[in-house]
Amino acid sequence: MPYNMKYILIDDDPIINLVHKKVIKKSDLEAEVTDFISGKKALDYLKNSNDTEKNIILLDINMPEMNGFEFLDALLKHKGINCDQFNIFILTSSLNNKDKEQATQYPILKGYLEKPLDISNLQKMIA
Amino acid sequence: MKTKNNFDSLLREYKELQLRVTRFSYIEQQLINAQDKLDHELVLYKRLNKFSNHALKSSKLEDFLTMSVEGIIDVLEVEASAVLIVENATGNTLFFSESLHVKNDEEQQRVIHDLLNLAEIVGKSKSLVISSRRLALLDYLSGYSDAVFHSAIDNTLNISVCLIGLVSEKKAPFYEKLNDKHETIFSLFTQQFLSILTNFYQHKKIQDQIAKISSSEIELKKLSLIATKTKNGVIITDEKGVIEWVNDSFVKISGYLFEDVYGRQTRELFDNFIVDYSEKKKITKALKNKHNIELTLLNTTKDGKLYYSQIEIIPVYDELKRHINNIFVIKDITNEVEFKAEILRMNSRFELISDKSQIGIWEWNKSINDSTWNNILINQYGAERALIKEGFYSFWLNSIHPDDKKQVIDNRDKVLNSEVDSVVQDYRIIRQNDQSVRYLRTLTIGEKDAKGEVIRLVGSSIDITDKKIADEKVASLKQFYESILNHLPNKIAVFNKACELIYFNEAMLESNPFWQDYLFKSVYDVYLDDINNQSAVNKLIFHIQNAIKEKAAVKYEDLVVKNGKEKELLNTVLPFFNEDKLEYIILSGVDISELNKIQKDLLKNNIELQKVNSELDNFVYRVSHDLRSPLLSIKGLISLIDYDDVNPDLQEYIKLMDSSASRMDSSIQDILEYSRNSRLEVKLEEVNLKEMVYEIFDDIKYSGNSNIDLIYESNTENHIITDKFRISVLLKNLIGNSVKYKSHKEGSFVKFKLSQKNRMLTISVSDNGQGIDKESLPKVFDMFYRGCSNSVGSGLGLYICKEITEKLNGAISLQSKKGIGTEVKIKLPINAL
Repeated sequence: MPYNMKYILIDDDPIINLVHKKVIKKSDLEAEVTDFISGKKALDYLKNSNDTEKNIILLDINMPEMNGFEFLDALLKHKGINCDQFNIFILTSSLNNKDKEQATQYPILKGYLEKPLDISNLQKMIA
Repeated sequence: MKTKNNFDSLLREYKELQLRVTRFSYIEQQLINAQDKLDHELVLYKRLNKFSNHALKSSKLEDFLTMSVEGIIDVLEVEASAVLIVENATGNTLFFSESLHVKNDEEQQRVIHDLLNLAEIVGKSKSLVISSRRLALLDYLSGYSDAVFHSAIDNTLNISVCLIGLVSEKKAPFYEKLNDKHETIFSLFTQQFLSILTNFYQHKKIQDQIAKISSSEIELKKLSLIATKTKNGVIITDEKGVIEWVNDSFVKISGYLFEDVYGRQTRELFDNFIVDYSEKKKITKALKNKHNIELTLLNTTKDGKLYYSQIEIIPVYDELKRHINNIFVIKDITNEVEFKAEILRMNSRFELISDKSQIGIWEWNKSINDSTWNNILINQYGAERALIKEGFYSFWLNSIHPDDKKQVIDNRDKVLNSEVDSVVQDYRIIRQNDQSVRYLRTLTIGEKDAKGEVIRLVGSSIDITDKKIADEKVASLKQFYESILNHLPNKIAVFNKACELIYFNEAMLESNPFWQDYLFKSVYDVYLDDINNQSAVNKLIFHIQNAIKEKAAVKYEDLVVKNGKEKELLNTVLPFFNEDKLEYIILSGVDISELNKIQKDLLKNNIELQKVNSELDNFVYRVSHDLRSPLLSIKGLISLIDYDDVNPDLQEYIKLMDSSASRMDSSIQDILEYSRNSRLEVKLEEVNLKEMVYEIFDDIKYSGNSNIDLIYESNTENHIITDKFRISVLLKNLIGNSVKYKSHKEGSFVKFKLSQKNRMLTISVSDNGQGIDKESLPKVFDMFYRGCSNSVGSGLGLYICKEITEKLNGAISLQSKKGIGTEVKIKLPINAL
């Protein structure tokens, strides 16, 4: 199981971000978790960040302003960011199959997870 | 000198004398030879004379001819001989030969044939010496080296004779080539032969005449004897036709007494009793020309009764060939003629017609109350002639179907009582051999006598069962199709190949009652009257022509204004061909104005509905998502609580909070799934059921229920074509139930079974869990029904399963026993992509 990973959580619900942060920390004390309550903020951060190592992005879909897919589109469009450095996962409470289908159209995605986060499952997928 | 001279002269004289002697002896020899020759010839002539004398005395022709061939050998000194006599008038031949070696009759015929040819070559009365070279050509005469042939003709008797003598060089010790001498003597021989022969023939002719005369004398005697005793009537008239005598039989046959006819002219008599005028003329002509004549006549007796006779008239001549009498022989052949006619009638009626047409024929004769019938009739009744012991009538009566019997007999009696001449009727019989019911078409004719009374019934019958059955089938089929056509909303009209209206259905009549009057009108007239629109009719005619040309149905839409209303019509022109021949033209029209309007409305509504649907869909997702998000946060937070730091009382509350949140989540999911199932279209794709079942089972097991096993069974392909989302919801619910309500003992299992039979898939999910009690069973598929107090669900699970199964055109059933287990069976149709 890989350790000392960097996590970026993008979800408009700060409580769920808190829960996820705790869940991650519970299994990996050394993990570095950053959370954003909108895609825009996350994007701004990523644009200015030079830290490219072992980033895991957990992305919600249903968000105001910019939803998960719009975030992905913007990320992919941005020339300054090398997307291959990220392990991006959808982490959603949506039960809409359309979302699942749409997710398959993004090869950059490493997986589609449903809330609540099952950390052991995630770590298996990264390994 | 003188002496010497004398001697010399003497010597000379002696020599001369010697020479003379030699010369004389030669002449003498010549003379002797000549004498011999003459003597020989004399012998031959003597022989000829002897032959003639003998021959004249012979009384039989055969003796004469035997003598003749022997005579030829004697007189001509030849080895073999033959004579051939030809009666020129008849071509009859008589052939005799002596020492001529012919092997058989066939060869003899060839000899005769060749001789006849020779006779033709040499012509009349000529003799000929035939060379050995020529003889050699005739193989049967090849042994002979010379032949002499002579032919002669007697004109009065018209007889030709050919005589031939043959000699062989090797065999004859004193062979001498045949020469003119022979020709002369042979010519004489032939003349002798011919004259004697003509004697024979004339004699024979006289004798024949004598024999004839004597035999006719006997015949006359016989005749008079017969005339009195014969059953045939005999009339003898004088040369002028005046009746001199009639026999008793004539009186019996004709009814005329001797007194009635004696001294009367036969002509007068015949005027009375010969019916047919042309036959009378024939007799008159024969009498005039004094010819024999034989005729069959229809006569009347003195009382006017008809009878058939055969009449022969023989003119009689005396020795001087004078006509002295006529003899009339009259034979009553009424019976024969009637019999013959009867046979002919029966033959023609019974056999010729009936055999070929399979017509059964019968005849009933009133006077003798007897029936005859042919074998076809017997076959129709399924019987054998020999087995109909009770007689045909009662057999027939017994065979008629009981329901038809009265009618049949009534009709028969009408004919019998002369109410009608004939009757045609169809009726049923029960065939004797197989007791099957057969339909017969019968004809009964009454034959009447002069008074109009029926003397005979004649009938025919044809087995029409097959036709009847076929007709009934056709009729019921026709009815069937007509009823279909009449119940169709389409207006249908059928035209024959002449384009005349022969049928229209009720829909047509409803739209325009005038169709009743259109029957047998042309398609052009009908539609011009019906729709009153020239261009529409032209269009129709064009499409009809096109359909006939293409031999295929033509469909076209048309806009027609009728009763002020615009109507859209979908017309079909269907030409019906029977083996390339046009039989019918079927026109069908359906008013699609309403349909088109509805279709348009439907399309509009559908678009709207889709819009609403998708809005609703989004709404449901949104709501469920927004409801779930805080719920999941709550659950997440609860999961973060470190139980070690919490008061034991609070621990219990926290657990209850967690379980309440879970229930709420699953209710939200159930409602979402229910909503999706009822709104979304079924989307078919290939689904790997095995994979799906294991995935679902693993998911459920991870959520805290590990003490249960999955048994997967399948007798068919695991990949099925179905709606992936729905089948997964279905299985999630069923497997979830089995896991949730397992018995709390070791060895719990959930068993998934997939099988295929008769184009149906059966999915069975069974377990050895808690089971459902009897009272709850009828309600398990009800909405929001929860079976027991320990139920943790929303009460939507099985309801959704039922809804989904119905959406997939399947059926769901549940069997359960409390404490033993539950089995849910789902039958689904097999789909194809």
